[in-house]
Amino acid sequence: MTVAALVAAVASVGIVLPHLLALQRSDPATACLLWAAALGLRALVVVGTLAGALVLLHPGHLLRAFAEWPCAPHHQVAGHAVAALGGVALFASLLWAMARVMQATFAVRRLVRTPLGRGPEGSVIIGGDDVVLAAAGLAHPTLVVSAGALARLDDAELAAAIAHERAHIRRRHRYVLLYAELCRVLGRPLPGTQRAVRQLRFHIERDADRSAVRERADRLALASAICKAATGATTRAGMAALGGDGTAARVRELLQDVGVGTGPRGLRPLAVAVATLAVAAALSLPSVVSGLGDPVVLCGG
Amino acid sequence: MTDVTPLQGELQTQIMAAIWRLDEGTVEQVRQALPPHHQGAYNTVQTVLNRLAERGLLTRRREGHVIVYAPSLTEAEYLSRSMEHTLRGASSEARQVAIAQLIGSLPRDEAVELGRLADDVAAERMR
Repeated sequence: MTVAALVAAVASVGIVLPHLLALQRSDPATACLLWAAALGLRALVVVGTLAGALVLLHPGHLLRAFAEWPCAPHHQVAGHAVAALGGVALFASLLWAMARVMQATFAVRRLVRTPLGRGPEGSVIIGGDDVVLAAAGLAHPTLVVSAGALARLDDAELAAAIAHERAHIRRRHRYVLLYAELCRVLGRPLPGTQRAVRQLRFHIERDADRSAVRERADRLALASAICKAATGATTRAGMAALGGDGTAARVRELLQDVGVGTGPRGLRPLAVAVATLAVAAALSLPSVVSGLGDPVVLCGG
Repeated sequence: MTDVTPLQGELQTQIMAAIWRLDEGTVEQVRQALPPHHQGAYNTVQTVLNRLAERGLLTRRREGHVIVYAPSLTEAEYLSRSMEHTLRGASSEARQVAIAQLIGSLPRDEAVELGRLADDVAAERMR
């Protein structure tokens, strides 16, 4: 129990830490690492709690409670069912989320396979009057440019926006997004998980912005392209109701050209430490759960 | 790159609209088909037409001494088969994993702020 309590305490610190630090202007890669580690810890806390509850409850009682329902005493059914149903619900929502992701990925792949034409820098053209530039797909991402983007962006904006999307592909952000989605589903019971995912996405976008600027993209042109894409997005149904990803903050940062590295000192070693902690927690989870002790009889057998 | 004005995107859109109306045309024919306030210099229209051709929205062919521009997409294609339409049924999380976009979702108050920032960016680029 002592080891479990210690792991829980350290995990809590790792979860809370990025919420307390001022990461808005810090190195985006470091901020991504911190938020990703915190998300991983959130998922582990939920999975560990459920697994621990199932271990502490006697498996035989659990099965009996279900087998005898509704004849079994209500408190017995409830006591065991809550933990089991929690696990089942979590697993089902994980499968559901992954199915949605795969469905979206296949839909994108179908669209990319039959493009309207070939665009600049190996991109494919899709329809639509909106300014859409995207790195589409998981295994083999394709640079997608909407016809509206080709008409509405000037040369510098188009080049900067393409550099931004290329940065997403080159830096393999799609896998981080997939990981974030897994953690979001698993860590959903904990408050603040949704915000953590939004923050991770925000810093991923900042990372792509910075990478594009490093590759000599015009920062003002990139800011302008983001504004044009965002202005178009406001007219699309349903977009305004969704959570934001700090688009205005990114434009301000590009406009002011303040550079990176203005976050708290020693942030990178801290981020590495928290990430190491998350990995260690994930590896030790099975042994921590199995070492919780003998099953507890909650409902009097 | 810095001599491009923010109005260029609007001119490109108008030129695409003119080309669709004409089916195909030379620089002068396209220029004549533009609304009066977009009828810039011959060279400006030619530059934008070449730019649109390089991007894949127009095709070029030589007829004698002139180059004829034609749309490579119909207006219907231009407007349809969009990412938005393809992913209409996908949750916002699923679509954000499947596609990393230049911008993600946007709350309305942020959209208003972005409108103001767009003016600042345009002013900064004009310097």
